[in-house]
Amino acid sequence: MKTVFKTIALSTALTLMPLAAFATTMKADINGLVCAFCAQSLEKVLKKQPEVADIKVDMDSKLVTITFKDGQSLSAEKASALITDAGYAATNFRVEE
Amino acid sequence: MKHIHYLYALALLIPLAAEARPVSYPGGWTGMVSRDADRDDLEVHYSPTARYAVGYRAEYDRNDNTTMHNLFSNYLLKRWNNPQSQGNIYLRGGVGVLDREDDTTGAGFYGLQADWETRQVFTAYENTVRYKGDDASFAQSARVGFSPILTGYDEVAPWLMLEVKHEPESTDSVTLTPLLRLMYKTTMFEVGASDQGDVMLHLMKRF
Repeated sequence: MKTVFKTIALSTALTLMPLAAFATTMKADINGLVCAFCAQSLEKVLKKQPEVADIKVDMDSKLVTITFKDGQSLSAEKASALITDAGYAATNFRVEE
Repeated sequence: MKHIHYLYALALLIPLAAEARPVSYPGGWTGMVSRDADRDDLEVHYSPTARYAVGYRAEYDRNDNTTMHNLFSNYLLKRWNNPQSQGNIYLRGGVGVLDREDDTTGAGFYGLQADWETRQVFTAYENTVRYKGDDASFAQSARVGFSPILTGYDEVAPWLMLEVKHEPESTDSVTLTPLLRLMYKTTMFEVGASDQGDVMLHLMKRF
């Protein structure tokens, strides 16, 4: 019985691990996000990064959500520098697994 | 002539007009065509960084039947990124040639542009000094506008605007143009009619 539990626990962990890695996202509040051109700028600059799988820009909440590729990510410093290079300012970075 | 110098000084002190976001994102291209009572314009520019853009501008003036071809640069002097708004000051200048009926001469322009906007309020001011050979002219314009509804990135954003244009050397030195702006993702279209009855059209696309 103990072995069965161990097997189930291990299988579950191995199954969920890649999903958790794939689902890693970073969110940040954006200052200066006032029009579709601004949203496009952020999308274009962030999507060029090889670690990035998807970008979502929510103009209502002034929020950018970066979804990373499996097992990859960017540091908050790097993401902040990219957003600054795009012409905007980002604050309050948080990572969600 | 003395007045011209004052206008040049004014042009340096006060912000330039006509283009939304004259600098794009790093690596971004922008294409634009416009038409109003006096001119037909075509412009293409490329932004190596979010600080400046370089491009080509052709401007046909139907009043004197001339065409200016300029290589130009737009420079973002200052940006204020706030949680609910953005403000910008840009410098703009170009040099090139002027095609007239009988000859070709030097030409150029420079000016300042400033804007401040939220998702529902827009204000802008711009001025331009144009050189056509030995002649120079000054023009300035200002805009105010609002968007009656808040829209997302995937929706058409409608704006109602009023443009006031001042060209001291024109017969009708001040013109008012109510206009409708529609923005959808990377495309902006404007259509308006001035108080002189002239149609204004403007199309901009970012790549």
